[in-house]
Amino acid sequence: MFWVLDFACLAVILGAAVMVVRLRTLTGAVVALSAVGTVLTLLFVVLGAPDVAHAEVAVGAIALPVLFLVAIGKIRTVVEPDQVGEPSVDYPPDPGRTDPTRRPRGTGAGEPEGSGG
Amino acid sequence: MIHVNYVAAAALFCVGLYAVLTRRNLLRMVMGLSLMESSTYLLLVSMAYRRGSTAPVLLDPPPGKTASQLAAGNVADPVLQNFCITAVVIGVAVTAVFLAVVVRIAQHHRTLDADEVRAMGG
Repeated sequence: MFWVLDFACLAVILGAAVMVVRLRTLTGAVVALSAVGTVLTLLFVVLGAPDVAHAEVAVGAIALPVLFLVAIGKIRTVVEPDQVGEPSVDYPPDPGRTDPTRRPRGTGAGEPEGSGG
Repeated sequence: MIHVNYVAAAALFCVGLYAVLTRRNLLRMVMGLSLMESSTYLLLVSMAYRRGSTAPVLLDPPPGKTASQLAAGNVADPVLQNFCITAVVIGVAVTAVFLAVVVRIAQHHRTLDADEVRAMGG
């Protein structure tokens, strides 16, 4: 029973870690990171470390996602929306980055150059 | 059987390293560093576990045992667990510093793409 719980927690942790890398949206990756912390807490309880589990659930499941989401919220006001919200952030290299017909950041349409900073 | 935990910690470290090395978004890099920290916690707690051990939360040694027997006996190693708690607390502070730096870079350069932040490339 011990090893069943151990291996199940390890499998979920590795799956969530792969999702952190593979998910296209940044907010989804933050939630997957929170899942890693939560399941790591369960694994610590299984391995006989309840005090470490206490610290980890406060940090990994609550503090870390809040920090990331606050950072995303602050960044979202100064960078283009596709860098923090929608896909096409990482790979492949964005072909529309130098496209002059592309929308400037924000909701303004049409003008290739954003109106001031 | 506990060696599976070590292998999983190594795999988690490799996933975090892959994220740091291949992603261009600075926030993804910080997430990869958080994954590498998590692999450290997993390794430390797995090393503290002994076969059939329980949590090292004791008022007195169990009946018929002395404290020196208990140090080599069936509780998990509290020293490595203390290391792990210290690593958790330091890890969240380091991640907060990383995120503050990323926010400042984004405000200054108006981008999150590490390839476009030329000032960091030297």
